[in-house]
Amino acid sequence: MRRILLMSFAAVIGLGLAARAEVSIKGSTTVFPIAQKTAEVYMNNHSGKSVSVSGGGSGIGITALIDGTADIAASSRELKSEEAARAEGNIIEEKIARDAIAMVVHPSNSVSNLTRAQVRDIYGGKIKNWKELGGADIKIVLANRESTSGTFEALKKFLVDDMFEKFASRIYTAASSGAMTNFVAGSKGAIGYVGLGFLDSKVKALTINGVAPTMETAKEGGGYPYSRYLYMMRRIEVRPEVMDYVNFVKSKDGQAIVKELKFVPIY
Amino acid sequence: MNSFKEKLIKRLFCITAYASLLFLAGIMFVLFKESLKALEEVSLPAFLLGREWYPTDTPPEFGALSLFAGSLSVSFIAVLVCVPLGLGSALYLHEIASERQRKILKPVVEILSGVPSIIFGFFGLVVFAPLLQEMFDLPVGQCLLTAAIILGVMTIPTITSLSEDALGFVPRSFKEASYALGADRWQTLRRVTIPAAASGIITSIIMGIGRLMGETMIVLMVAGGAAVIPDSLFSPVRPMTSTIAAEMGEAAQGTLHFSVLFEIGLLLFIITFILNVISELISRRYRLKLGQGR
Repeated sequence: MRRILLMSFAAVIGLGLAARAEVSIKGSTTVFPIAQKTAEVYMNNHSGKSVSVSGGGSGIGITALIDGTADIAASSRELKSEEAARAEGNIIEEKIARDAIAMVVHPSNSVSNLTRAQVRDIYGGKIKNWKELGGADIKIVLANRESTSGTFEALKKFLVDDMFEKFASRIYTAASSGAMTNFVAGSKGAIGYVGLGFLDSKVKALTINGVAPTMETAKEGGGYPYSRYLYMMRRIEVRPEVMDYVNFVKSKDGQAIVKELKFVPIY
Repeated sequence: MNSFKEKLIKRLFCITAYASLLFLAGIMFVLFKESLKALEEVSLPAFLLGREWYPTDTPPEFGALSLFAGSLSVSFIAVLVCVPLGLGSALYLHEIASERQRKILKPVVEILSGVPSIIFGFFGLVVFAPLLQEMFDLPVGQCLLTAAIILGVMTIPTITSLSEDALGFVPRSFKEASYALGADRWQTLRRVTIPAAASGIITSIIMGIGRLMGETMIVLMVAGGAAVIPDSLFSPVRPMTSTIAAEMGEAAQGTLHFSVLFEIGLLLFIITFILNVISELISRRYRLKLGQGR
């Protein structure tokens, strides 16, 4: 009896130690593919190291990082002031890629350019029909991401920069970027938004102020207005394997993966 | 050694028996504690009667009426789907089906009750919503009606198995007396069996509503997620459960938003608690009425 107890005790401790050799990443669904792919390649190159990636949204990742339940928070936005206050200056925001938010519509939609002010008014519910924008007489169906989503936060920040008041109340929500493109592809009057990496042929990306969302235009100073940095946030003092992994993501090889996934490399 | 072992086992079972009580108390405590901030900072009328749900705006607005209306409307329409179907199949199973049919149908109903709700949600999203969209030429297939129908189908087994139990509790002598008086099968069913089982059937419906109100995954996937008071069957809705599920992750712990989500949870808990109490009261009365004081 006693021996069994001792053995199980040892097993629990052993498991705990094994878990410490693991790097855990949590957060943004936008950063998720980057984190997942780099983790895969990193684990292939470093046998014995393990990196686990889970989604949930930037907010969840940052909360987990502050609470110590994750080593790295993947985030598509900077720390909010409340989060920064809770982190007490203990967190470093590592820039790992750039991303652009593309406004997407149904492929049959004849509208192909919007100004930032028009996007703001569409999401504010002031423009309700595509004919007001020179398109067909179809009611605009607004699609939004959940407020857990970093992409939502980023779009909202862009809109607020343009003196946005608030979202129209009749607005559909899509649970993920994939769900968003499916939603927009399934509704003629729909408008939604996704990160550049999630653009596909099912939907049509709009130019904003005349600039199309591409790898080039999304670079700093590239002219595409809805573009931003993506982050992997870590504590200042981290275990060597955490630092090692972050450095890998920022390295040439890591950035090649970023590019492969249709995000914009930082260099 | 033996008596020690016996005592230990007795204790263990005692602990497991009281564990549910402990969990319930713990859940209630946490719900109240975490809602306190919201109860203090958002006035109750603003919370219960406000229509504007903008939790992440500055200043935020926490009007939960649209969410409540979402839950209520989805549950109500789902009841219209699951009660006739669930009750009908219970009556058929219990009164009409041959032994062989029962042997096939009962397990099928039970399997349906074992299907995880996410599978229903997935089916709703991929198959049913597009179907409905095409049928009614809607801009979007994810709406109140889609969610309600999928939820209704999911709840059929709950109604069926509980109603069937209720029908099973009706003493044989009731039916025999009815037949002896010359009543036919339909008259017996309508005038004797169903009224005798009525409270049990009502209980099953209330339990079904409880399940409907609490279901999260399906409404998250197919209800559209817009916080508006529905004005038609095709309006998108955002029930309380999916609001909590969708926003809990983003709301930083300790913020007002976080606390308000707990308040919604508390509201939901109170609703399901009341439903449970009602069904318990009804079923107790019904057992006494049939002389089965259990």
